[in-house]
Amino acid sequence: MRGQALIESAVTIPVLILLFIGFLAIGLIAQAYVDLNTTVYLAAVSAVTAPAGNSALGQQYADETFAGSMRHVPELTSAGITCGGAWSPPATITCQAHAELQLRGTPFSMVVPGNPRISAQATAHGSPYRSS
Amino acid sequence: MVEFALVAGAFVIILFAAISAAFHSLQRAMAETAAATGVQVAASAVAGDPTQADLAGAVAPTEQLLRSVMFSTTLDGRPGQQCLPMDRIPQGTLEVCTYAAGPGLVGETVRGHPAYVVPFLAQLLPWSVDVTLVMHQVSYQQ
Repeated sequence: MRGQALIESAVTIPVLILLFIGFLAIGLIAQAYVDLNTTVYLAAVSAVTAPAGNSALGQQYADETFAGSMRHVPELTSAGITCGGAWSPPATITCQAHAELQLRGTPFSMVVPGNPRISAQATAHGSPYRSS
Repeated sequence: MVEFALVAGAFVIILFAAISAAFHSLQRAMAETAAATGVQVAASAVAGDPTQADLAGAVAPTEQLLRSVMFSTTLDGRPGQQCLPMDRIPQGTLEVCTYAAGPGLVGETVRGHPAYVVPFLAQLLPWSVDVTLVMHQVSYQQ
């Protein structure tokens, strides 16, 4: 009987541990998605508040906002953000970014293969009172 | 009887831990929303000077949002200052800091240790919140 209990425990405990790590990984991915989504939203809002009609400056505002916030989320790596749309008033700019959540080398890699890739997109509308 | 006591005890602890974890997720998500709201206010300007970021004005809207989920937590607004390191912020206190984050950039950080819904788990589950968002200042134009 004691042997049977030992084998049962040996089978059950690793499964429970993997389940527990899996739940934590899901929480981490959800949190990373919220972080990326908020950052992309702020970048889009920044882009429409740049001087009207200046797409280069709008993209620069978005880049600076995105990079400034992402610096504080070291577990996320991103190649940057791209914004496009109508830059002249009333501007409607859509920004999107992709990022990888760095889970490789952590205990989470036991349940999540590779680094999960997440994406976010946000659209912001500028004020019609800006001149072009 | 002994078996039941063990199982019931473990069940209660796991239940409280799950409630605590769920509540922490909620608080963390709200901190993100509150910081995003605050940093947008900071990125706009003070009345009368379109180049001056409204660092002081960003604290109140952030705290208003945080209060809805940060029960019994002291909110410490620090306009124009960086937050203290996490280990120097007392338990049950959350700092709201707005500051210039570089040329033309403003930042807002919400950092600290919220008070616990389940007090006796406070020592076992040291949840903390640390959210920083940066935004370019708004340019004004007629």
